[in-house]
Amino acid sequence: MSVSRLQEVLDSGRFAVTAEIGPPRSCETERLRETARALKGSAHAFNLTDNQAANVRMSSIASSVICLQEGLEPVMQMTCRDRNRIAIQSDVIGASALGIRNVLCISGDHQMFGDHPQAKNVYDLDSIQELMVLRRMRDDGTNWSGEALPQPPQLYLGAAANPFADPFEFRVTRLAKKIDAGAQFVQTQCVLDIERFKRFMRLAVEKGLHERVHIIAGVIPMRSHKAALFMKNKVAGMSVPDSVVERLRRASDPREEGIRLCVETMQDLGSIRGVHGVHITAIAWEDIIPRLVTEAGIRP
Amino acid sequence: MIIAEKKPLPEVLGMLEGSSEVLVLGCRSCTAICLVGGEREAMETCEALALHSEIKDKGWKVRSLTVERACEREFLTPLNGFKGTVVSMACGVGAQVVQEHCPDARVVPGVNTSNMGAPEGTGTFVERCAGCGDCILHLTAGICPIARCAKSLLNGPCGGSQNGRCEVSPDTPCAWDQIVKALERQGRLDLLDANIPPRDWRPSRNGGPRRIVNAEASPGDAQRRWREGE
Amino acid sequence: MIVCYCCSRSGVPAALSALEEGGLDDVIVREVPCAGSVERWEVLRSFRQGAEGVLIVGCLLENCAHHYGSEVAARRAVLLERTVQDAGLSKGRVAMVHLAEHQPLRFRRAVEEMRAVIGTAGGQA
Ligand code: SF4
Ligand code: SF4
Repeated sequence: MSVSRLQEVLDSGRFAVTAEIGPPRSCETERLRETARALKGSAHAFNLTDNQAANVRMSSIASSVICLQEGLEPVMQMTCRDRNRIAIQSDVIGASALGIRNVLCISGDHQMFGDHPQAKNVYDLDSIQELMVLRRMRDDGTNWSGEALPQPPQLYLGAAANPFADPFEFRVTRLAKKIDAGAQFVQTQCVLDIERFKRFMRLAVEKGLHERVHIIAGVIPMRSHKAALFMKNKVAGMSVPDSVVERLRRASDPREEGIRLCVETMQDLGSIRGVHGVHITAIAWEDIIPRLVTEAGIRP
Repeated sequence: MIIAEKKPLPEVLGMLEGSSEVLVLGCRSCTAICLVGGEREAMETCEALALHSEIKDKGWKVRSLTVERACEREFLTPLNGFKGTVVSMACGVGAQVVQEHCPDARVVPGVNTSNMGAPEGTGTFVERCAGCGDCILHLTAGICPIARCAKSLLNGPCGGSQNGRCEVSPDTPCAWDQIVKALERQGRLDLLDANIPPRDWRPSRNGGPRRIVNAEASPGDAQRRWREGE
Repeated sequence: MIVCYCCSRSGVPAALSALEEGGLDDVIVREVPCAGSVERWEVLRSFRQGAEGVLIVGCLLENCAHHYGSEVAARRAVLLERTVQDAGLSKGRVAMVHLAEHQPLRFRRAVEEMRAVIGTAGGQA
């Protein structure tokens, strides 16, 4: 039985497409709706980030609901940075009551990166414990303390994986831990270093993890070699090979080259054993998503 | 030991408005060892306050005194009945015990108490323990993820760990990278296979201020009531 | 008045030669076994005793009789300069001088520089 379209697509063995929508900084509901309308039909589901990079944004719950109203299926991200187990359970019950089914459990970027580095973080749970708590609510029909839930939330649980962070081998173990904790799908950090990603997938497949979880590989279109350099040097947990930077630097039209690179990557990823979909992150460039999926031939 | 850091002098000066008798109190235990609140530092602060008082005509009578351990009242007898201002160079614990011992004094902090840590080389001190009240070092190769991981994660490194460094700063080692490597070296990586469930944070700060009773040494409630003649 | 804490190996011989040449009546030499042994409270107390500036005079960095005493003293001088400012005196009242025993000129120059620093702000301002 599937509780969401994303689950249905993945469980039926089709290639899934998800894409990221960054919620607005304030109550710009109309802008969010416009983005949603423009992207409708370009992916099976859309991630609404949770105060991404620790910058204050419209909540992922509210933005998910707005997307639902526009006919998009949301993947609500929920970090452990800003909520303790009481808030996480309460927010997820509320989200499910409002029709949100896909929840992505992540630890969240440290608040040092954001616009409130003075804030106190929570980390009552880590992402694995968050999965454990949400799974118990859904499967056992109780909250974490054992209190019965007459109408438990319906959830399709996701997690993040970063094949480009260290220590490399442990990344596969950590993926296994997330599956043990309840992850049903996994979205990875953006793949630019495809060789390393392939090594990661080989290890994951050796352990049979691809049969226990749907792995959705992240991609990112880049507009210039500067964007690539920024990610190489400034974004924690990214691996950007020099060849990628060079390719963009040498291109006569870096923008088009970036799109081509992204499309090629998506096609490559589709042929890797164990990859069941792609996840597109096009920060502040969401309108390119329809073109990307069309050119890659993966439009839902 | 407890690690503290010197408070900027202007901040301390700002706390002394209206004082007349000022006692700079050093502690020979933790804050002496981390080089901020021992005898030498107490004397230094004392001289700096006196110099300021002379230049700005504050009329403070400043002296310094250093005790063995400011957090135990038995060492505080020289302060009996003190009614002036105490600039505590001891940690926050010491400062509070001094305040209890001298209820009529005004105790102000001369240092910022930071953490429970250890020296790293000379003159650098790094946090080691967060006093969580339920130690799990046996699961993590003797490296504390609660104090030393920026997110206090319990089930492995986050996605920001790279080249052994923590995502918050290239100067900070990633505790989880260290844990994984140490367990690997010890051939005990399987310890990490099982997920650690959500913890009970009550023994940590979240159950309110903690009170630890030693069953042998403490007379217990009944005896206390008897002694206090209830 | 400029109080000079002079290391017995380098600072004292250099200062004494300089004093013999005359013209340094405002200088008080205090002999210490090593520049690194000068306590911060001592330096601060000198100001209370009337010093307008303090020099810590120790060995050349690469040639310190106590290996790193001169280096520690230099770091301490930077912190002390800040503390003296925080206490209410003007900038530059504490300085470190590195020299060898046969360099009285360096000592004299350091005194002249300190005089200039004191001169602009005046006395214990
Ligand atoms: S697990 Fe708790 S008690 Fe043990 S070192 Fe870490 S913070 Fe301290
Ligand atoms: S990089 Fe390592 S130490 Fe830093 S927050 Fe992540 S797991 Fe913790």
